[in-house]
Amino acid sequence: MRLIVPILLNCILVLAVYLSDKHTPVKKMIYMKKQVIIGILFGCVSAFASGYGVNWLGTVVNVRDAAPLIAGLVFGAPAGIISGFIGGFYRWFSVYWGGGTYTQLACTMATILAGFMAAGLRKLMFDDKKPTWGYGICIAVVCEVIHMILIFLTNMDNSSYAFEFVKGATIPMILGNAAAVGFAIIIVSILSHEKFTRKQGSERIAHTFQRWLLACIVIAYCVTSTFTYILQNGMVRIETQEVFTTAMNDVEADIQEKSDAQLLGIAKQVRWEYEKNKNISLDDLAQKYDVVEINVVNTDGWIINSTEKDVINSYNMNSKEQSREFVDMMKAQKSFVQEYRPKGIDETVWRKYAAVRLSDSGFIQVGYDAEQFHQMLNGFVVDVTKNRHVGNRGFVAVCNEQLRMLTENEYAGMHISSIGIDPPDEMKEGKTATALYYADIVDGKTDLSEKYMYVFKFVEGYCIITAMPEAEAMFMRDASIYTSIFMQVLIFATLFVFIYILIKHVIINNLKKINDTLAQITEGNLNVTVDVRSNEEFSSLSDDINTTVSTLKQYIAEAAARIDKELEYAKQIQLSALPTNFPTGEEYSIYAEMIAAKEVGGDFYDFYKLNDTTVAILAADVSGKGIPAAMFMMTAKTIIKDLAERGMAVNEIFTKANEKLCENNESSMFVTAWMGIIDITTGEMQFANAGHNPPLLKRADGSFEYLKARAGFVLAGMEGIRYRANELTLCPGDRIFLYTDGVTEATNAENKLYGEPRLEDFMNKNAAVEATELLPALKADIDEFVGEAPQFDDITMLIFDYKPQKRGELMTNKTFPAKVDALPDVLGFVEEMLENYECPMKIQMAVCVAIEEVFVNVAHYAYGDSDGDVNFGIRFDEERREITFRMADKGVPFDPLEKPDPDITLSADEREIGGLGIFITKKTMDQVTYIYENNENILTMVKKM
Amino acid sequence: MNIEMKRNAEVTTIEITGRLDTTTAPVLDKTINEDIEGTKDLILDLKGLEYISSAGLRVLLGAQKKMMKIGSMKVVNVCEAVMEVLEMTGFVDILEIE
Repeated sequence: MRLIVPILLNCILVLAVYLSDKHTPVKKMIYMKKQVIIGILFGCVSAFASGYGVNWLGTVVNVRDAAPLIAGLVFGAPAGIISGFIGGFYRWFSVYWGGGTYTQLACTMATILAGFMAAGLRKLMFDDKKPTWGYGICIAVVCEVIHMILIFLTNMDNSSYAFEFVKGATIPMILGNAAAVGFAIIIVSILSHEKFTRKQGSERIAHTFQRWLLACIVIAYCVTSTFTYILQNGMVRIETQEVFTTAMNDVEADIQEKSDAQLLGIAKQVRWEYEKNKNISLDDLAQKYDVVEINVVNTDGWIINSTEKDVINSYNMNSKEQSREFVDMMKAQKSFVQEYRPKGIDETVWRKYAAVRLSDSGFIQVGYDAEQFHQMLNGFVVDVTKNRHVGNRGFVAVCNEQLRMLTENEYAGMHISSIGIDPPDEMKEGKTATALYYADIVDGKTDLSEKYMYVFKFVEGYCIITAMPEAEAMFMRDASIYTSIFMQVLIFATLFVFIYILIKHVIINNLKKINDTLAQITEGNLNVTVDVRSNEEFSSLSDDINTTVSTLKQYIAEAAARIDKELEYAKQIQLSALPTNFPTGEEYSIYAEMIAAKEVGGDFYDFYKLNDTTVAILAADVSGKGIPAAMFMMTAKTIIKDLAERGMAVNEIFTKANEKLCENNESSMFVTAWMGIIDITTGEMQFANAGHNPPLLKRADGSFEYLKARAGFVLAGMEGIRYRANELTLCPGDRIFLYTDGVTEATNAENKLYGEPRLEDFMNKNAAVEATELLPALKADIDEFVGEAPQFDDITMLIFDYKPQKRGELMTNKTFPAKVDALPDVLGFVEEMLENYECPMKIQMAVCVAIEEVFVNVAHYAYGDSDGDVNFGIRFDEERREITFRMADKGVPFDPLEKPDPDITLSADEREIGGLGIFITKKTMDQVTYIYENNENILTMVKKM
Repeated sequence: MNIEMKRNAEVTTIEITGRLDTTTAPVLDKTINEDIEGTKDLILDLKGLEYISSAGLRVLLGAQKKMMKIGSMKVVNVCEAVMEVLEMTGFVDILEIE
């Protein structure tokens, strides 16, 4: 009961340490410092427990070993070792203030060992984690067993005392320490919300293995223990019986010898008397020597004289077995003494006979009863048995035939039952014991009874009883059983730990390594390899996994390459859909760039002339990336252009486009877009915004500013949205910059955005730069900002420059039939205009040749056999001193500039006729451009004056 | 365009004045192909020619090719404007210009 206090103290300390570890200051403490503190605390508990126990045979049964075990198993190896040393040293020095010296060394060693054991097992078996309570209890048991073995080992010279001590201390110490460790671990488990029920599903190999190994070892332990017990039990009985037999045989031999010698002496005296006087009365002789019977027997076995008158000459000794022995023996020997036994002629009578040969022939036989020879023998018998010891505390007792004790003490003459032996049947019948008997024999001095084992034998009318306390007989058995059980616990526990560690190192650790690698592979890192080479099986497994991974890697690479290719196609689809014939007319010019990200997005820009005086510009961004975005972009672009060409207002275009895009938009993609429709002649612009970035607008006399009009919802986002149109009038020199979020949301390595302010800044600094140079410069600025970070969104930029004609500089247009016949009219028109501009004759000539060439070309080929018109426009820019010619036809699309120049170095024979006209034109004019727009072939030529 | 042809035994001189363009070139072409039978040396006097287009050049090239087989052809009195075209088109290397 006293043990409960230190057990509780252990539990409380565990609770306190565990809870305080939840608080920050303790949590932040470095590991070793914490371990030392825990070690010291538990060391103190260990020391306390050392003194607070139950006194037993001069020392204290206590739970000192529990604290180091708890510290080591629950909190960490260093704590266990430290508290083990503290507890151990306390025990060593405790002899100076009353601690038992008998177990001093053993206890000290055991406590220190407990700390090391806890530390080692935690590290080796439990991966430096707290074991389950079951293991904790097992470890405590093994620890206490070692403690007991140590007590044996350190007290080999007084093993029976050590055994007595161990016998009494084992159970309470094992129970006490196991309970302390078990409770401590359970408390921690409850606090950390561990589940005590086994987890569903598969368990770890280590656990399965631990369980089965434990089961096997427990079974093996039980079997060997039982076997040892049975074996030792049998051995002890045999040994005890041997001890009994030896003692009894000695006594028997002594009595037999004494009895025989005594009767033989009588027989010799009788013979001497008889031979001296053969006529002497045998009855007188018998009376003189106090014997019952004297027979004179001849060599044939006939009794020729006797004290028993009726047998004289009528009984032959050969007729009965008992008496025949004498006849037989006397043939060879001079004398013979027979043991006390029933006589042959009358078996109800027990008698002891002795015979000596007569000098002439035959022999004389003397016999007496037990009463007669016992009177003489009793003293001797008591002496023989009195000082005879059987084992340490055993004894030999003698009774007469009536089972009355022959002893010198107060039991003399008393019945055997008075000392506690209830005579068994065999004893009552005067037979020798055939088995071991048990009786509670009373000690005459103390009056206490103790269980004895005994056997008995009847010799010469005496019952000799050999007895020994059972405890003494069983001491060796119990001692060897205890030691063997202890040793087995130790051996099996060691075996368990070793096999477990071995398996862990050979299999479980390798599996864990492989699993860790596989986990990395699963997470996508295909560059790791499994490399467990500790044995052939794992080596082959590693190779297999590596092969699989590399094959997988190859497939993935192939798939990635295919996807890359498809993305490349998507990029091309996207790019090819964007117009690149940038108008650089007098009224306006447009320039745009789209830089697709690696993973193609859905950006696009667009511009087209809706009629002679209106032009539309558009920038848009489809949500998402990849092929779906590219496809959706195509759809959106087509729909918007289709609606625009029907002549709708910009808000109607968006409203309708939204409806159309919403149909079957199962992938929930959407488009942000900004669109403006500009009347070139007046500069009036209508624009609408569907969730797009606001464009930058620069007024001719101002700086760029964001055109922040209220934006509508994104296209394809929701049905039934109505968009509003905003209006604005552009003035000469105004510039509009459209872009997508790829510009403002370009991100650098520090995750900072390029941003609207920086864009506005840049545009203002470069406001006067030509669009064709400005956009690449902007891209370069974005690249500089982004640095190494990859471009993850498309970058789309479009600049619209509004360049209105100055007064009087409007192009003069005239339409002619596309026929060679009309050439003079055409040239006439051209010459007239040129003369108006006061153009030198030489230039007039050159220009006319060029005009003729391109006109003739159109007249011959543009319309085939059918009729068509050619529209000529001429304008003179006085400032720049240049004349611009514009020729438009609605014939088959044909770019005359594509034709390669003729080789003018060839000889006349080799020269081909044809191809010269366009060549002359290109040579003559300062600039020739071709676009196909609105179903028109438009050739623009500029000639400087 | 105006064409004046002077024949002197096997030498024929054609004076071309005005514009030799797409519309007029066929006339000259016809003249050269049909009206100079028996001529060995052809002299094209371009003194009055103020304008020539590729159609005219084509005729000149055709004439050059034809005359190379039977005799020779010479172009004379080329004005500056026409000369520019001839230079531009590499005809100066083909034609014999005086």
